[in-house]
Amino acid sequence: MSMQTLTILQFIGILTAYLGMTVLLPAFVFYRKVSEERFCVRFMIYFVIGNVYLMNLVMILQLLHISHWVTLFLGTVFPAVWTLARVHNTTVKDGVISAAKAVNSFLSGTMGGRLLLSKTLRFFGGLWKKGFLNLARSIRHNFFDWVAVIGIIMLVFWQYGCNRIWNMGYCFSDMPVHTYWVNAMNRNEIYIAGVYPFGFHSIIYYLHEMFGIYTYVLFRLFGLAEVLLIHLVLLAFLKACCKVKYTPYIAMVLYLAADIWNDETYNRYCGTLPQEFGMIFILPAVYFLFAFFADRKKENGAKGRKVHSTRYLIYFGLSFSATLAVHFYNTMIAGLFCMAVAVGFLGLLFRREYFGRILLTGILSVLLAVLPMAAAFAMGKPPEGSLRWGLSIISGANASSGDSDDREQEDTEEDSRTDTSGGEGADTTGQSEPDTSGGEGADTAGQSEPDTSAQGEGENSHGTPSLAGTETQSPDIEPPAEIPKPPKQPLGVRLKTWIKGKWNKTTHFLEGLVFTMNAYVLSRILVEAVPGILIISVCPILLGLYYLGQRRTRHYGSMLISVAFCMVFLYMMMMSSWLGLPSLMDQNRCRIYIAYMLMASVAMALDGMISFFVGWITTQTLADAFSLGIVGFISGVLIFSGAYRQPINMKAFESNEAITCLTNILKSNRRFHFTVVSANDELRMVENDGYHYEIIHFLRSMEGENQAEYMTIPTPKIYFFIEKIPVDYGVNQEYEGSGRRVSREGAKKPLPNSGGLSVYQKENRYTVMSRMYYWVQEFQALYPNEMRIYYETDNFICYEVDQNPYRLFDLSIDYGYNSMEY
Amino acid sequence: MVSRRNFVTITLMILIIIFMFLFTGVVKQELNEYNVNDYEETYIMGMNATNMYRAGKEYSDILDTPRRYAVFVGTSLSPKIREVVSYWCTYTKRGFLECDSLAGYAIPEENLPEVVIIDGRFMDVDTELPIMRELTDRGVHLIFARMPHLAIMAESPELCEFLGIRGVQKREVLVDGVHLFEGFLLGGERIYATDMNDTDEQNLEMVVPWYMLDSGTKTYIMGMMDEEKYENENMPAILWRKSAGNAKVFCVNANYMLNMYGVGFLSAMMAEAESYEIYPVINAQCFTVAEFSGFSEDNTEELEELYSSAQPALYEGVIWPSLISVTEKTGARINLLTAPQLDYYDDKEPDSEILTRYLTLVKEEYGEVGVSMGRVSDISLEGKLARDYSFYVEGADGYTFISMYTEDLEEVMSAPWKRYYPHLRTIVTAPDDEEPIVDYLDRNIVMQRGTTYARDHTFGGNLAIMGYETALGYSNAVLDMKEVSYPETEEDYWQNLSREISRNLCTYWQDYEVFEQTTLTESDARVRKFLTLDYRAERTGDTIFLHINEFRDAAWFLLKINNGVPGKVRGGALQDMGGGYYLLEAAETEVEIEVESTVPELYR
Repeated sequence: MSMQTLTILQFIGILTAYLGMTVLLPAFVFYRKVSEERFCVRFMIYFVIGNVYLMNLVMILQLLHISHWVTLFLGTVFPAVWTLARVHNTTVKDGVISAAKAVNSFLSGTMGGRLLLSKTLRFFGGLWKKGFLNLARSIRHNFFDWVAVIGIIMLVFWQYGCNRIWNMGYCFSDMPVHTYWVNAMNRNEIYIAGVYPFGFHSIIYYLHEMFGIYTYVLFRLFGLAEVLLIHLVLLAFLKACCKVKYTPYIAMVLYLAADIWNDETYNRYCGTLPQEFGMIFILPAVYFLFAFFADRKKENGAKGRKVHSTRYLIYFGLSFSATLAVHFYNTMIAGLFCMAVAVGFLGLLFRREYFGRILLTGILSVLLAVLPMAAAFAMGKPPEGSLRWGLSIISGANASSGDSDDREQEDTEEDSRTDTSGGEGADTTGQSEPDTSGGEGADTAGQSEPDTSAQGEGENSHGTPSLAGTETQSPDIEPPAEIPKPPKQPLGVRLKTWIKGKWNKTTHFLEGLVFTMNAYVLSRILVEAVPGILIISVCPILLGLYYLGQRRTRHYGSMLISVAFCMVFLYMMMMSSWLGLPSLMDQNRCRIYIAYMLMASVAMALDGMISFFVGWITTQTLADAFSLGIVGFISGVLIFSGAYRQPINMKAFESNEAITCLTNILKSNRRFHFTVVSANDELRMVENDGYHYEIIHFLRSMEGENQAEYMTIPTPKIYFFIEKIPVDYGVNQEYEGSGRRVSREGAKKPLPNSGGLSVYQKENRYTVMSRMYYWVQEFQALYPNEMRIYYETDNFICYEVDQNPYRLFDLSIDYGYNSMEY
Repeated sequence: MVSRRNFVTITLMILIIIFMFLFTGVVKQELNEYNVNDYEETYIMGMNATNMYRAGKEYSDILDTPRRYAVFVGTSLSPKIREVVSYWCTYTKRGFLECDSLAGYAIPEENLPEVVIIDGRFMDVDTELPIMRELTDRGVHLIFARMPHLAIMAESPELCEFLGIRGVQKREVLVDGVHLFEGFLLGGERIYATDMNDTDEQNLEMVVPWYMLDSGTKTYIMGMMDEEKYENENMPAILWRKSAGNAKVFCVNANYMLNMYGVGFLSAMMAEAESYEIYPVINAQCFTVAEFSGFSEDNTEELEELYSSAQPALYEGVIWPSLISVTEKTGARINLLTAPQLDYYDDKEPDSEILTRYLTLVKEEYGEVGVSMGRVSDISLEGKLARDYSFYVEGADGYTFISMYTEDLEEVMSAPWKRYYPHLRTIVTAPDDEEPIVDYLDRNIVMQRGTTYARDHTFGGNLAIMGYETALGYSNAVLDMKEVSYPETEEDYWQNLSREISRNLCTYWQDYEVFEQTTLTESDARVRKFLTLDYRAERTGDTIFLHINEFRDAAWFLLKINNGVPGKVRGGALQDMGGGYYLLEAAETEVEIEVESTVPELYR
């Protein structure tokens, strides 16, 4: 079987497992409770409940140190059964008695085997028939919706799935760290590197533990499920909010297919990262808040907590807590959106029957997310590096150092120091530990490969210098202290000057916003077109004001205003340095959310505009048809003008061959009976099933005088991964695409002395791989029968050493280059 | 009351049942041609000592390409090693050259030896080390059958480095046991360690020089020491190899090569040195019950006291069932080599009817009956032959005796036994690790030596079994019944002896189940084929081509492939024996074996 086929099958497995546990199971349990909701709303409800439950289940079991597939299974099934019984107004006891009666009837012979079988078949046949009929009816009534949704799913797979096959390795250098954290959960060591939002890791761990999927496979492929859900949730949100049937698809087509975006607005979708996973929960939180206001209004201020609208607050609270449990950047965005909702629903929010409930829900949702972390903190776990940074920002202690690039740099250096000092380092068996990949450390917030974001930061797609570079300097410009005060001007002049100054500042700000948006978000369109899009994104304010005027459409108007204000707040966040505000999120991250929310805003704007004509110029059906026409038109324009986006092809930090080898090694070896000697990414990939030895440690152990020392690796099998053409790891423009092969010249160079990832970057990787290659040649000459080629392509070679575990080979040999004097 | 009709029915049923049970027994008895030796036909005309391959010829007469050959370097003070090497070359169809020292050996420009086997005790480092280096550089493997003296080693760090020795930890060390690693000898891993007080079982050399090995070495046998004090890698190495130049240097830091089972070590070392090795084997596993004398009442007084029965009753009632039980468990064919009586002066003559019964029983077990030359009285061999002859004429009814057992080959070969046993063609003799296992005694008589006594199991004996199986695919467990008839210690009592035999045969031969269980006559035919055949093997790409000369019906080879597994086989069939060894049964003169990668075909 090819790796491509295996990858597809693995992804299908992961998607099935994930959606099965987070959508289908909650749907099975809660369907009766939420059956009156629209499909898109039900989807969000199921998804949020499923995810939040699994996250918290894992975290509780982990904190109790009893996490295991058995406890996870019990923790999943028993509550599901209990809830199912509650939803169906029965009890588990009744269910058990009923089942026992059936078994008793069967055993005592009062019910024959054939009857039992036919009853069972009839029951499941009925379920199947019902489900099939519902599906058929849904397809018949919403044919274009189904076609469009399938099209969107295919588009997501096409845009982001191809890369999973083309580049099988991790595309982000912080993914090994997350793998490490999840691997530690196998040993019930949650928060291994300190307290950190572990919602994402809990889900990955759950899938790994319950379904036996390797963590490295999950990290390779779960991202695609993640990105699919990011898009489906956006679609569900828009379907739930929009009045015109097909306007959501306009946004989806533009977001997925239009070649207007800066690559960095979607490049991170190639990874499996917590920030992107957390994005899934932002829009459901907002929608449930909208739904609460609508539902609460219908209740006319009914008192008590068992009123119907409470459920939306619960869903909102769960979604909001999920954002915080996964990644606090998402909570910031969700918080901003909530502020925007506050603006949109200003008339209702501060009423007694709304405000208290919302406030209480907000507090409880934060508590729900924070509680596991607080418990761990109370148990002596220190906050993880990036969390410390986040807290310092919130407390204002370090407001000026808000650039996560700097923070990452610091973290990496810190981890590099950990590496060289041994860290969790080489144990007695010679296995190396977190070190270099751990050095990526505390990503957390990510920002891992500065080079990839080069495009767009300095200049836009047309090469026009952007203002992004100057904007950060503007707040620093202060008037010189010694300038003598000008003579006092008359009030009119002063007022005029003040207004002029503000006007200039505002126009300068807007100009800066346009250029920044062009540089960071909409890099592939003309800068002149950006103001138009900005206007469209905030025009729902005007439309909202119009709709607020009519009682029937007031809620819709509030939603429009909320969405538009969300964009305003996001723009402010993007331009926070211009406004003298603390930089909570750097522009590289902010643009991902802006691009995402921009589509929500544009869709809502278009929806508001088309709806404007419904009732006096056109009918709803015509409006729907018109929106479908726009979808078709935009799709046609994109196809025929060639302005469509090509699938991402993002280079991985690890070759496909290495992944192939690793997959084969894991399949063909017993657990912990092998060691992989390779650069660094495999360290965390094999952690649960085997041992890893870093090439740099391996080579250093026989360098110079060390050669005399006996060096062993105590597993029956050892695999050496060597890149004949070393891959470009991280920043290395001079090496990029050089196709330079390992050579004697490379091997003659001294081993790099540096620590962390730098030993595997630029020329260093070339040197290290060359050295390793010639070590293998020498060792193979000594052990021709024991060392064989396991896998080879033009770019890569893997050797396998078979050794006697009772009498290990001395791997420290003189291969010529380790005894050279420099 | 039973009605008449029912009574008749019941009676008929009883009669039918009785008939059915008796019928099989009667038929078995009546149709049993006990006086016919079924294995007589296995003889292949023309296979005798005249056309046997014997090491010493540098080139094969028949296969017109240069034969691979070994050079033995040793003085007249190392005759045992010379004997081992010479027989190994004979068995593996290699050429054999010898010289006193490497200094006197002119390395040929072409047709280099495959391996040079050196008795290190008598080497001169200064003159011979450069020659060794030249040999290894030119791809000739070296085997140090014995290590040089420690004094020589101490004076020559270059020699130590050449042998892969980093340093000498101790001149001598008493090891707790010996660990033979898997993949070297056929049969797998063995740990020869026990309580040091139990000296009966541990008869391997336990005091060895303690060398610390360098990188580039691979250890096959090591001395075991306290694991809490020493790491495995630092424990004394007993047999290892070092890669030197383009060849391998093997060092044997014990006296294994002084024994004939060293032939197995030599084959295993060559199998390790090359990417593959193929050599002929006999493929015969025999179980010889010698001096079986349950026909006359010898040593009656002592046996009566011990077993409350005389010898014939003891053999028939106690010993025979036990033996059959063992053979059924192991699948062995019983070879009953009978001695009509052991004491010829006790006036008690053997009962020939008992022989007839045994012939019948042995036939039912697909075994074979032969003759034994053992006795306790001073009767001459000629006298014994004469007296036995009349017994066999009377009891065997024309049965053709083909196999004989004797402890004294010289005596037998000088006696006129051919007059009495004209069809006899194979002689089994007692185990002796210093003598060859199979050979011709004269032009037509094959000698099959016992490889071990069935009652004994020592570590040395086990190592010997492994060595013989590796080199020859042959074993012959001998059970000498004279010890039962004339017990000397409690261990000779049948109740003790049978337990030992059962344990040994059922346990230590399990690893060789793939080899065939044979009677002595069958193995005689296989030995003849083995000694006669010649072959040539070469590897081209991923295919091993085997050409067999003097091929008759079938031939067996052991194949070991490093860095691969056998795929398709044309002209034969392979059976996996573990540890990388395969038994090839060649059905044609040309055999092709494809070699496949060991890397599993998983995802690409």
